[in-house]
Formats: sequence, C-alpha cells, structure tokens
Amino acid sequence: MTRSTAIALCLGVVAGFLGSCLMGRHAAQKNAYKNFLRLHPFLEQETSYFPTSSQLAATTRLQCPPGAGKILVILGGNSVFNGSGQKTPELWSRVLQNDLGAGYHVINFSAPGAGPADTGAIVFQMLARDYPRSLLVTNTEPGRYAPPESSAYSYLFWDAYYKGTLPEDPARAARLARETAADGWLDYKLDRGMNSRFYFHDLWGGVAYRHFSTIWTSWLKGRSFLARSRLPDWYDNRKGHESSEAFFESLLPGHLDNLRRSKSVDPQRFRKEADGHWVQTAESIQNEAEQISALLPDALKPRTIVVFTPFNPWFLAHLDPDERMRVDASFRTGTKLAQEGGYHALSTADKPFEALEFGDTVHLSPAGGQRLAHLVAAAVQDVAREQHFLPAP
Amino acid sequence: MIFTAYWFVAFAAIVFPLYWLVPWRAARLAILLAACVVFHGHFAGAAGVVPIVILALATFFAGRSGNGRWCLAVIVACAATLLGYKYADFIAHILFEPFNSQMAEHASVWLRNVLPATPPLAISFFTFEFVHYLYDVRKGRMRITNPVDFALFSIFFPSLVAGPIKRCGDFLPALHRGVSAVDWNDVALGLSRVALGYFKKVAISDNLAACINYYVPRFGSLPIWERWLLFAAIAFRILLDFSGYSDIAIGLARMFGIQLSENFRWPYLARNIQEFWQRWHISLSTWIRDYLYIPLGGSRVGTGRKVLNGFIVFALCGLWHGAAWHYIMWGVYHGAGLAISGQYRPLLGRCGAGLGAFFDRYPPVSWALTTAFVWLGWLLFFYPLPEAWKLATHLFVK
Repeated sequence: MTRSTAIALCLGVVAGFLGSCLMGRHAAQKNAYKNFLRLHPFLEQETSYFPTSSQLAATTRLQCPPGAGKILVILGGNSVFNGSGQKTPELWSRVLQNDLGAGYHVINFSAPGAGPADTGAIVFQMLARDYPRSLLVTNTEPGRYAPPESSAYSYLFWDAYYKGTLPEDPARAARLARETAADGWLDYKLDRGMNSRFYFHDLWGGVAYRHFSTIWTSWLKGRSFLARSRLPDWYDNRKGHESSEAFFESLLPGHLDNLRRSKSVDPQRFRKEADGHWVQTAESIQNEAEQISALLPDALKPRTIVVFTPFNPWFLAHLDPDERMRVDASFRTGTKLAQEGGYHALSTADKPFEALEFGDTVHLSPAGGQRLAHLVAAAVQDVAREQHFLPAP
Repeated sequence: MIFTAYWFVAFAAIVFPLYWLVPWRAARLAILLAACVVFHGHFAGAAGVVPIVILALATFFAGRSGNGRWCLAVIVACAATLLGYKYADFIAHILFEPFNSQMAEHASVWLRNVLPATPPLAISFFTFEFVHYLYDVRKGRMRITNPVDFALFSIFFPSLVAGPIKRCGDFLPALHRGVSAVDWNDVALGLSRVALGYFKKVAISDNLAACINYYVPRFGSLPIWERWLLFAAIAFRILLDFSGYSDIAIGLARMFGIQLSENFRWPYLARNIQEFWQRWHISLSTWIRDYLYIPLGGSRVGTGRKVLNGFIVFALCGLWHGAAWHYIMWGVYHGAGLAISGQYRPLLGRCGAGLGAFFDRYPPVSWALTTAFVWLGWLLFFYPLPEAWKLATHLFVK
C-alpha cells in the first residue's frame, strides 16, 4: 500500500465515521415509522430490533404534528395494551381512537413485558413540553411498578436520558446517580453516552427499518435480513384461537400457575386480618407507594392514567377463596396508591369483563379489547376535561 | 467479547491517537505499557491480575538469571497455576468419581469455594507464553533483561485475550520497530484488518451462533439438506469467530506498527490433516510442536512412539480448549487423523502408495475427505459425545 493510499484509507475511515454520525442524527429526527399502529414483535426487542426513543418521538410527530390541534393520547404499558393476540383491524387502540373521535390522536407504544413507565411513558415525557395537551394512558398489574431505568425496556429510558430529552426531575437524577455508581454500569453508561453523541443506535434502527436488518432471529428465520418496514404486523398472519372454555382448559395448569405466581396473589405482600380478609402489609404498601411515586416527574402525573387491567374471571374462579381475596385487595390497594401518588387510576377489576372477552389469563380478545377501549375512552375524556384541554368543537 | 465492549471502544479512541501523535520512542513505549496495564486491570480485575503478576515476575527473574533450574521451577509453577485455576475441578472429578461420587462432589464444592468463579483472564495464553520464554532461556536462545520489554511481551493487550500466542524472538523486534516507525501504512492496514475481523465476528459468526443455537435442538426434525447446511454453519461459525478475533488482534497490533504472526491461513482449503494444522490456529499448533511434540521425541522416534506422542499432544491440545471430556475427545480424534494421514502410505504398503497417488492426483477428493473429517470433529468440540454422535448420524439417517 502506498503512503497516499494509506492516508486516503485512514481519512476515509474518519469521514465514514463522521458521515455515519450525521446519518444517525438524521435518522433520529426523521426516521418515523410509516403507518405505525403498535410495537408488534417485528418492531421491538423480542426480534432483536430496538427502536430508539428519538424514532418513537419522530413517529408521533409524523402522525400528529404539534400544531394539529389534537389532544395526543400516548399509550404505554404491557402486552394487554399492546393488543397481544388482536389483529390489526380489531386492535383495541383503534377502537379507542374511534370512541374518542377526530379531536384526539391515539398512538400505541405499549410493548410485551413493559412496565407502566416504559416505552409510551418515555415518549410522553419527551414530548410533554411540545404537546401541552397530551395524556399518557398506561397499564400494569397491581404491585408491578418497575422503574424504567431497570425494566425490560430500560434501554429506551437510558437512550432518552442520555440524549437529554427527558424533563428534569431532581429526585430521579439523584436516584440514578446512586444506582449507577457501581462498576457494572460503566459499559452501559459508555454505550448510552457515546450513542447520545454519535447516534449509532438510531442509524442502525433506521437502516434496519428502511433497508436491511443485520441480525438473524428465530422469529423471522429466512426473512431476518429484510427491512422491518416490509414486514406485516406479526399478529395479522398468525392463526388465532377462538376464546372458549375448552381452550382455557388447554392452558391449564401453566397459565394458572403463572397467575398464582403473580404479584396479585403473592402471599408475601399480604396479611390475613382477624375477620378472614386479606390486606396488603404496611411494608409492601410503603414500598409500592415509593415505586409508584418514582415512575414519572410530579408535573406529569395529573396527565397520566394508570389502568389496572383485569384477570380472566374463568381463571380467577380456579383460585381458592384466599387467593381471590388477595387479588381483590391488590387491585384496591393499587388503585388507591396510584391516586395518592398523584395519578388518575382506573381499576377494571370490578368492571363486568366476561371470561370469553379474554384470549388467555390476562390478554383480551377483540371483544374484550372493545370493552377496554370504551372504559379507557371515558376516563381519557374525564381527565382531558379536568385538565381543561378539550378539543375545539 | 472484550473487543466489542464500549469500554474498549472508548479506550482505543484515546490510546491510539495518543500513541500516534507522540513522536518519541520512549513515550510511545510508556503509553503502550500504560494502556496494557489499564486494559488488563479493567478486564481481569484484581483477582485476575495478581496471579499473572506473580507468575510474570517469577518468569522475568528466572529468565534474567538464566538459571536452568529456576526456569524449570517456574515452568512447573506456571503449569501448576493453570491446572489449579482451570482444571482442578475437572481433575478432582476424574480422580474421585470412580471411587466415591460423594467425595468428588465434596471436592468440587470445596474447590468452587476456594477458587474464583472464573480463572484469571487469558491464563492459558499467559502460561503458554511464559513457558515458551523460559524453555528458550533454558536452551540459551534468548534472555530479556529489560523489564519494560518483558512487561509488554506479557500483557500486550491486542493479543492478550485470545492470541495469537506470541514468541519473544518475533515480538520484541516487531515491538521496537513499531514504537520507532509506526506509519500511515501500518494504521491503514491495521484498520482494514480490524474491520474485517469485526465483520467476521459480529456480522457473520454471531448470527450463525444464534441460528445454530436455535436449530441444533431441532436438528432431527429438519430436512436433510438443512441439516447439512447447519453442519456447515457450525464449521464456519468457529472459523469466523476465532479468525475474526485474531484479525482484530493482529489489526490492533498493526495499528501500533507491530506485526504479529498470522494465526489462520484458509484452513478449510487444507488437503490433509497435517496441512490443516499448519493453517488453523497456527500459533497454538507451532507452540505444541515446539514445546510438547519435539521435546517428547518429535519425528526422531519410531512410528509407534510418534503416533503415541501425536495422541498425547493433541489430547492436551483439546484439554487446553476447555476442561471437559469432549475437548479431549476432539484432540484425540485429531491425533488419530494425523496418525492415519501421516502413516497410511508406509503402513498399507502398495495399497497405501496407490491410495496416496490417487489423492495426489485428485486433490478435490483429499480436500473433501479432510474437510469432512475436520467438520465432523467440530461436533465433538462443541457437544458432549452422545449428542455429537446423534448429530453426526442425523446427517445421514432420517
């Protein structure tokens, strides 16, 4: 290699690196997902695809520009809100959009396994200033209030945090400084710190969405390297199950075991009163109150609705009376703690969901999704009225 | 993988420009040494650094003294340290299991309490390099008197984790040439090599690994042609993973102006097993040849002894890769391959000569047989014997 070729190659590497940084920055701002409806598996980490906070924010801006005059309703939460099992035409968040009407814009960033302050809650915080008339509706099971920095989608939180796009929250900053002081965090902090300057995750996310993916995944097998934008919603091509008691029987005992292991039944969180009723222990209440309080900055809590989504009554009927009482107590306490924490809370446990409105223990069938949408729409309208940001007639 | 850690990226982004921008030889040596110390300290931690520092000091002073007995004592200490950290549990099981499985379990639990959860970082590579140095000192071939040279030979970070296994005689002149005269050419060639290594490792090998991990448990249910495809994927995965890592190491060293020896030369083009081992993990196979096979007698002994020596050194080569029986089986398998490949002509008389002539005349046949042998060996390398056998039979039977 001649000296001039060598110099050209080295300069080319530097130029390529700088060019990639610029393209990553561009992708972060402009790479919105077209026709986005939800984070189905081909658009989230289950298939080794990691949308960045900037890309989700860009998608929101594309669908509902800040000047559009609409009330923005961002959905966060877990697979129940993600509409797991529901095909695109029957997706509950589309029903919610219909119920709310043209004055609102609903965008669903909930994802399987996400906590109440993940995904959608991150985007909500990022856009809170640009969208003063926005609401967050997120769901969880009572007792599950994992902080976003250590949840299954923590990468998204850190992405936004290091890019400096989250609103200031001194309590959170102090907590994070404490938690991340350990050596084990160093590489992660470097990753996120460098990404906030060089935008390599945004570049990869943009390329993988528009052009080609680089990671083989068992979900896609031979189609792993296709652009994610060319892949349909995973649920649309999946053979669904008709909800029926026979189908629920087939899910036993695995799903019942899962229900018994859930926070709502976990005996560690409860104590039995002299009258035979179960209540949460003072310790668990205090822990959970602290966890709920830390989910979002105080200023955004009044614009947030926490929905405690229900369990399938068919499976609940298989629990013993003590276990059922613990579930009831869990929903009661969760609702109370969320309200005391400054959020709006909607418990669906006492709403008349039928067994056949579920696809399994917790996920809703299209019919259940409709019922959920109607309940949430009413709650959204109430909060919008309370916040004085009703859409112009 | 250490080279894909963000810490390493940040570290490299500081160290390399600093090294290039400083024009003084001594300052470059100091920067390189400091970088190696920081790298080793960061990834090995105190528990990993202390035993290596002790062994390095012992090796350095024994080597500098030139005393053959001291050198031999430190060689034994190095080997004992490697055995203790990496193989104690395995050896305890071999010793106690046939007599009393409870005793074997007790020994295992005790060792787990006494020893760290993982052996010191790269202890196998350190051991091989120290043993090589001390052996050569004993033979009067070299002696390092400069502690900085020895420290850099010991903990030169590009090759620290996964080789190539260095030789003092090659490394030190390359080091001094690098710190004196690193140029654009070195940087450009190094960068290209690093990029190639990352591509092999991250873009191809890691994807193949994900694919293999998913499909191997379903191997029997795949169509035959897909099983063969997966079989090839297993073979290419280890080649690209390991040679990718070597490329990164060689490329990083080259960016300092230091040329390390090649570790892979298109091994799947080999037409017999000897040739395969001249192309695969060259720094290990030449180490084994020079420091195990030749001291055991090499080619100067009779055929039977030569074959036995081949089995011994390859069993040890297998064991070096990991403390499990299937690694030893893999080594013995290659020992057998070498014995057959090296001896069939004289042993089979006219028939052997005819067979040899046939292979010489039709290289694709000898290539295909060698490739099949080596690739089947990877099943032994990656999986316990029953599973490897099951996978191998599934290649041919429904």
